Amino acid sequence: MNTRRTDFEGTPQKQMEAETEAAIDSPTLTKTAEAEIATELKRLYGQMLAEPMPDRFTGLLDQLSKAERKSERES
Amino acid sequence: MSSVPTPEFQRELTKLLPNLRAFARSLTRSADQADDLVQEALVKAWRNWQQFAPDSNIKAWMFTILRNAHLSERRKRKNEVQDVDGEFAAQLGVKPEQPGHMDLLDFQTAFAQLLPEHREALVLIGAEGFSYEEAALMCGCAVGTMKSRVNRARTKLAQIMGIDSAAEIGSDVASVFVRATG
Repeated sequence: MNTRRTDFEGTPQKQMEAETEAAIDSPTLTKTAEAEIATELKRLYGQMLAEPMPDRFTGLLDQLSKAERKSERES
Repeated sequence: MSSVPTPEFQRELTKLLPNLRAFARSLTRSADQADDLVQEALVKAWRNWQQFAPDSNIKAWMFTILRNAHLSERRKRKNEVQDVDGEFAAQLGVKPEQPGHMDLLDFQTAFAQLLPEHREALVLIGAEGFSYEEAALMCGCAVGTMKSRVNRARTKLAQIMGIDSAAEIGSDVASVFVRATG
């Protein structure tokens, strides 16, 4: 199991370069495997996209919009 | 130009909400954290809306804001708790509705185990359809690094799920095994 833990921001330059080289050298997946992973990823992401939207976000935008207009009128 | 975001800007943000939530969920692997992150990103975007160049890609702009907010949140959290086991056991919490070739839950589990930069790369390229150049710009890395991350993410997914040849994918034996143990 890969226990190495890397953070976005913590990935050292040298390691990133090594990763780039390793990826070029490493064997790629078969086209079928790649296509299957692509399909599953889109399916998973599609389900997240389709989730019911809570009101809090449109409410927040309306609030921000009202607050801005109010402060502009007052200034 | 008015100092207030235009209704058009608000409409554009509203249209992007599902994508922002899905991207946030991919990064945080938690529905609650994701929604807090989206909220933070919306407020930041609203305050900085004049920095948005009207002709540029608002999705890329919003994703970058959300991503930066996530990174600073991560940095803050890292000082508080070390949740190594929790991270490994993480799920995205999406319930599968339709079984595919692979069990969606199985794919989700594998995806959640990827390194953060690999999940991000896979979603930006494979799910959102950004170009490698766009994604590299958004993540502040070289195009080659972005390509390498996507490549490694795919290979790692296949490895976690035990796919190493085309023949194994979606075979009846594999899906029965997944259902029996999952």
